[in-house]
Amino acid sequence: MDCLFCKIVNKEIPCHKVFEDDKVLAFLDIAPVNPGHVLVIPKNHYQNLEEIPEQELCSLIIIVKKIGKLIKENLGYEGYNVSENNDPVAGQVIPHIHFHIIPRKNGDGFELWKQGKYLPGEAEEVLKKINNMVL
Amino acid sequence: MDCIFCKIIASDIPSYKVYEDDMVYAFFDILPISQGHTIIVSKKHVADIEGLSEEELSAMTKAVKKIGKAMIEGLGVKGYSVFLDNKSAANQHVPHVHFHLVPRAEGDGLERWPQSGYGEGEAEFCLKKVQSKL
Repeated sequence: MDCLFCKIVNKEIPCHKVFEDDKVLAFLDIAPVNPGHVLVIPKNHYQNLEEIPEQELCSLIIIVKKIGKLIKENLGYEGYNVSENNDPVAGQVIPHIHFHIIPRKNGDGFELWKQGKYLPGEAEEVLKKINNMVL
Repeated sequence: MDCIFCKIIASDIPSYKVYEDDMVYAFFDILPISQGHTIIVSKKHVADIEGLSEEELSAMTKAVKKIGKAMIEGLGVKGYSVFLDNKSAANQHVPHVHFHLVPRAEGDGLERWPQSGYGEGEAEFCLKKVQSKL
């Protein structure tokens, strides 16, 4: 398996482990946005949200919630962003699904992406396309 | 209840509804980062992720997965960004817990935040502080 994260799970590559159980591993991102930036991954290899079974996804997000709170409280932060980049077009660099927990302080300067607006009728068009596919 | 998202869920304010089940409501952000930008909320008013029960958080996350797939198939996008902002320090503007699901395209110009490195011993220091509470 040529996946960097699978090698970390298998202890072939070291990591700063924050948490581990039988399904999930969490470790410090070595290139943090802010110190304490954590990656939370399933131990099984899944590329993205489409591949990971619901049950494993739920186990993962529950750990994300636990670790987010721990990081905020114990490293003196005031909030955090949870994010998942699904596919290389979304900035996913490692093709093994992972959630980022990025700790935040007031005024640390990280801005959200700019928001735009819909032209008349545009939202309805887009909605139709999605609604046709939502089960 | 003075919460804009609660008003949307109650249909006091109209929305472009994407999805609804017993615990979750999803609708278009009317100021989208990209077309189809969807907000997924718990129907129950909970300020942030830490107030959610495991069941509520799981329900929201399952909806994210369903809607993400619908975006790929319906909008023909290859991927999307999922994020949840916890507290105002993390840019949470509405104090009702919500995921954002933003469809993405090649060259859309949406950049990740810059990443740096750790100084000597810094990572170990962070780790010790967190692990001592696990």
